Amino acid sequence: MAVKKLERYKMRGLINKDKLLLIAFLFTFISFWFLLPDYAINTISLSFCNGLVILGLLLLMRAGLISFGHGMYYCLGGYAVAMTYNFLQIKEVFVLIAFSVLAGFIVSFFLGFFVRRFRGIFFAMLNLALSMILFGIIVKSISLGSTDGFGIKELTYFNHAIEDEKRLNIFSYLLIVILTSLMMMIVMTFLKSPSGKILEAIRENEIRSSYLGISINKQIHKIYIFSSTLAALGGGLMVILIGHITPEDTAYWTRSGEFVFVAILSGSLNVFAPLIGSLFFEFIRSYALFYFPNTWQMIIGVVLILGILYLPEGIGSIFNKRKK
Amino acid sequence: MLLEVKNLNKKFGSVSAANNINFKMNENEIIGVIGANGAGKTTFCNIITGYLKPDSGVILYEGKNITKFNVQEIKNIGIHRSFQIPQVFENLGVLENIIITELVAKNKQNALFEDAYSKKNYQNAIKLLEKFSFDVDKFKDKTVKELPQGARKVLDILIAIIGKPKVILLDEPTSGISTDEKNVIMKNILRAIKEFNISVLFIEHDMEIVEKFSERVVAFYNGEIIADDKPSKVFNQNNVKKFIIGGL
Ligand SMILES: Nc1ncnc2c1ncn2[C@@H]1O[C@H](COP(=O)(O)OP(=O)(O)O)[C@@H](O)[C@H]1O
Ligand SMILES: [Mg+2]
Repeated sequence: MAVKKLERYKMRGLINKDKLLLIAFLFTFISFWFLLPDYAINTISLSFCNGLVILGLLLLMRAGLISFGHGMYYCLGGYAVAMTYNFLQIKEVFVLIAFSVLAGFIVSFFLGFFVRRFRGIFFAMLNLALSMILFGIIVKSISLGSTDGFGIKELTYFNHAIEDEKRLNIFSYLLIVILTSLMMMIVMTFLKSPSGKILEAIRENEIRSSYLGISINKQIHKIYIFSSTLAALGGGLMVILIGHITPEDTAYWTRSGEFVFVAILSGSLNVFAPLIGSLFFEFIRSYALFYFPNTWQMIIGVVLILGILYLPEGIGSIFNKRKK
Repeated sequence: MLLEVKNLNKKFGSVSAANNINFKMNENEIIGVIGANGAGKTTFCNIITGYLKPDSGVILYEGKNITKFNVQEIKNIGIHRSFQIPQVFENLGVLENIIITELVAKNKQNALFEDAYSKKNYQNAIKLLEKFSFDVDKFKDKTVKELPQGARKVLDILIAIIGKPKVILLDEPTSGISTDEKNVIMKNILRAIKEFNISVLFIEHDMEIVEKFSERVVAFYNGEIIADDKPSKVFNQNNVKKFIIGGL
């Protein structure tokens, strides 16, 4: 019975190989909660929060763009959660997350009118400049917490308080894993749709694209909002997980650089790559930091070189052999 | 009158690429454009399609002033073009090039809830390529950058034909193609175009091709139109013989 039903869904295109893979991905990570030690679960959670930023960068990369300032939206999403919590006394996780998404959406909507006219290195550096402006504003404002940032304490999930629990608990873990998988599903569907394929056309040839009748700037604006909102969601979840945010850890250029690093290492072949890439990076970092505290950056550098040499299309190419 | 250009001027520094150009095009006309390199033929296409803005002059399409339209707006009213150097999506497959073009032509550039590369869309793309005598079996699994120059050129033209234009501007459709192939390619393209009632303007250096396929010839020289008539008349005009045919 069940098999027949599955066949029918397949026929209608409701289920395909990638979606099944994603469902398997989701359940694997849910089961890890019961199998892996706390520190591993913590690393996974954090790498998923960051992975959402990389997923956002993947969208830009599909259109041939990269941002050296996506930490800005990570920061905005995080501050939206922290400030709503501290100033509005809202403790409900789902409301806080909604605020982080909204912050990313609104800011990228307005900045999008400005950045969408630029390409290549100009687009990348302009975003870097914007994120450094945000960094400067926060650091100089006492009311925004300056360099100390903000902390949050206990949260509620659907009005259920989780008192005296650690920040990392089954609820925050499930929230992160499920939301991440949901975003992967949305991005996956988007990339397969005409809207998503148009991005590749823009990346390949802007002259022909505009002669086809594509409004290039509008498409880039759209993707910028989509991408930035994902980054903001990642920042929001990160604050819920860690319970603290500072400008230095989010909007400062080194953080954005790290995102670009992982994005390039991951490549843009499929939606799994950013998450696997981010996971890989966080584990290497924590291990390298532990065993080689003084040379871990060097190890990261070697990894990037190996990646460029042997996986020029990124980590995604491991399980996405070209179907030709 | 389908397309009308009045007193068009365009300068690049001291070079006059369009010098007081007046031009009219009727429905279902096939016009050949000749002129030495640098005569202003491509610039003429660039201005009509909104890629370049003229310094002065007016462009009318079905009586409507379209001088200030941008590239997308010009495309959407039904003026398409192909390029001297093919402008295609190099790293995408041949079929994907066609599919994307068709999706945009069907105004689906913002569609979210369908699969762009569906089986149906692939089948349509193959059908379309076959219709234009494109060597589908040989090339359908290739990316564009793997194609020989001739096939790329044809693909560029096909992309311009998709979406039912009323006017199509072909910038040197046979350049870089061997002499034997030129005739076949022109024949295939023009047969297909005729079927859709599209008016054609094609830029061409090969006078035999021009004579064979056009009903009217426009000759450019230093940004000016120096002749505009039936092929036999234009070819016999003295300045055309001296500056264009003799100069080739
Ligand atoms: N974008 C441009 N900038 C400067 N000069 C240009 C530009 N486009 C064309 N020209 C000049 O305008 C003249 C006409 O060029 P073009 O229209 O390409 O000629 P054709 O297509 O007939 O060979 C040439 O002298 C060329 O160098
Ligand atoms: Mg030219």
